[in-house]
Amino acid sequence: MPALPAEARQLSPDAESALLAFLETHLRAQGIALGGEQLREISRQAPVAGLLDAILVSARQLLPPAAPEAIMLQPAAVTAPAAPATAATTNAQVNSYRDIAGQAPLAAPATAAPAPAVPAPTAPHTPPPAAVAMAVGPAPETPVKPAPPPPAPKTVVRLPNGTAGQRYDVYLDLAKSPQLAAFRVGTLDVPADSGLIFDSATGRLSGVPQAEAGQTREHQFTGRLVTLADGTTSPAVLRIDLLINPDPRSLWKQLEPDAALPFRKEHRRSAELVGKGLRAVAASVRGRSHANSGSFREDDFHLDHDRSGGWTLVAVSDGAGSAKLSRLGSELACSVSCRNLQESIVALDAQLDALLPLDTLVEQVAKPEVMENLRKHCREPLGYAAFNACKEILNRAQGLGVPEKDLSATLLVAAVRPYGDGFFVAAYWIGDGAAALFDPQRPEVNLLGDADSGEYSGQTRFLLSGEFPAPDPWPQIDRRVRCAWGGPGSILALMSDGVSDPKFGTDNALRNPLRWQEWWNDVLAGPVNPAPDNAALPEELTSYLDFWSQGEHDDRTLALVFRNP
Amino acid sequence: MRRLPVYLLLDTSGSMRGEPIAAVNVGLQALVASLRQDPSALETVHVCIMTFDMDVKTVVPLTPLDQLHLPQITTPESGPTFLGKALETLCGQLDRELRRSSADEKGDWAPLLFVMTDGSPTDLQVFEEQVVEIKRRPFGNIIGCAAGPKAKQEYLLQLTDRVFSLDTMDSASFTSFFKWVSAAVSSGSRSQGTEGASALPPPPAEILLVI
Repeated sequence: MPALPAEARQLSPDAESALLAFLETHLRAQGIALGGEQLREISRQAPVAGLLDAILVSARQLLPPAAPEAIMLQPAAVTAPAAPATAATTNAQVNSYRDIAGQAPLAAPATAAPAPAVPAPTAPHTPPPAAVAMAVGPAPETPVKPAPPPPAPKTVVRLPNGTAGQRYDVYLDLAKSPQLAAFRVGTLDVPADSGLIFDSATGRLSGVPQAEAGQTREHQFTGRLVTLADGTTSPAVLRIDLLINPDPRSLWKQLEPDAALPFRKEHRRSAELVGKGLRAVAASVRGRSHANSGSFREDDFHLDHDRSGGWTLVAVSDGAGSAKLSRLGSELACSVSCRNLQESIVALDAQLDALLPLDTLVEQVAKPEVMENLRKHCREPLGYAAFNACKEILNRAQGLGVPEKDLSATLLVAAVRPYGDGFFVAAYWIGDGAAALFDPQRPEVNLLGDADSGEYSGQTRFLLSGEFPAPDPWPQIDRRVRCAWGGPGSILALMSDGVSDPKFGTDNALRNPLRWQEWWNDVLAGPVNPAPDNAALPEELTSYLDFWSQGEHDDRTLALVFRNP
Repeated sequence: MRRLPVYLLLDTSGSMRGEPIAAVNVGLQALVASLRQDPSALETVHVCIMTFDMDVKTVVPLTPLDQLHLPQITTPESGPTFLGKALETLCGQLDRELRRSSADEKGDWAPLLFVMTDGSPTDLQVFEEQVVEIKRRPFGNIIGCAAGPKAKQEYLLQLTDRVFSLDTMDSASFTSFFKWVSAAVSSGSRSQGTEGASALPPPPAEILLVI
């Protein structure tokens, strides 16, 4: 055993109280009861602390080499690096460190770390064989690895997590940590397959992190610290921990719904309807979130002509994600509302011709009172179409013995008729998504209703019987019916929120004509060519709907109506 | 980016000391590892972990899942179970950090709350006041977990009708529970829409639904 130190030192308060408690018990067992001050005096006289130090040194020699960790740093309260959907970059700064343990000063890296209760004597430059830092456990997410024999206590720094495939760029700024402020990172051993490179000149770790598809990767890079003052390399070994999340795109699965489930629906569908002076195309795809969980597409659409007149009917519906049979609800909402309009919409022709004489068309549509008058005439056919669809949904739910809300679905339904050199639209809209008449050539948009968005995301209204309250449902219907006339280059777009949320995001953006022009340019920049003779348009629209947008993986449905030249 | 906030309230009272809290730590690791495999969760879930004993601590502030580092959760030597105070702290935090929809911003998804306790609230009066407050908050789902033989389900049942019980407090039970929590969070991140609580995946065999 090493020689006892000549002088007793000051113990930490914890250690002292533990020691006094022990002495008290020990003496009491011998029949001696002493007060606190007397005990303290005895402990100072007897070389108790020195004895404990000696025991500690001996005990250390019995320990196996342990993972040496002196300092563990973590970024405090990381704020989300709100990466844009297109060029996602994690550009986190290591500038907000919170020291979890502040012992083991780096300036004297060979200092033995204190044992729990009794501090060890400082023995500079003669480290015990295995320096054990009791204060800090390993980073919880790092698996315990068999540690190589350590030359000196390590300093562990944890960096903000990265994501595979997304640019990572972090400045290893040690200035925010009191323990590390006097140092910079001199060298860092970063394997090439990590996709990252450390530049010692700039102190930045950057690159595009690589990981096997679907795998979380945990790096532990080893490096050395350099003293800022004189450029000497510290004997302390630096360990940098970095977790790389899997690339979310590599995690999506394509699962088929249970073969026994009823009311099946194909995952992708597109259609085109040309005639009566208009061209209508629509596409609907199952969202990645539904593919990943093996559930059905819940969106739906319907295209049709009316029976006798010159009308084209378009409907888009989004089944509620939390409703078990919403895929049936959305199908019924679309098909029943259109079927109803097939019979009824022709009645609007007389009012249309009376209120919008062709020779003064442009003047008339600019008059709010004229359009409001016309809108009142639209309420009946559109309101009945929605009501009858709702009634059919209720009937089916009752027939199946399930609550009506199991078939919850939104509805955007429009009746369109060529008029003058453009076309006229009457629409009913309940729920989220968007229905709008816009002109790509001019900053003009006519939003055909208001999105029913709740206080929190995902909350909206559905085509349920409560939306047609007895005895007078007309005020509720009234606010959901709109009409508009669009010039020759206009486009009518109906979309589910799977498209409107990622492409517009907010209610104000939907009202902004510039955003509609931007969106149309985005559509044209993709696989979509709306030329009248392009027979591949429905298929192209389907491909367009596969766009990536972070956090937006709902079903997507888009219907477009153009004036056919 | 719309967030799906997930709040975990974990009992760290003295009775959790030893194997139970070690098992909770193992379970949390399993939860995070499992959520990291869910692309939807990886892009939307934000996690907040609060512990309650004689103090209420936010051990992980609301953090995006991809930036999360789990700390080791520890317990004091002994101490009461201030579940009421924990709920009070949670409500205050929720009111500050939850984003509501506006014309210019999409709000958060309705948050999820998981409360785990191995006993019963010591601060009963505060607890009962806070149950009322919690019900005023827009939680998409609240799930209670009564862990071990001494857990009192009747208090959790005041918070939610979805209370699950774990017979034992070992790693296997907690891991199984937290993996199921992960499945519930995953389903929460995609099946929002109607009013009221959304459907939950069936719990594993070790977990009993308290009715």
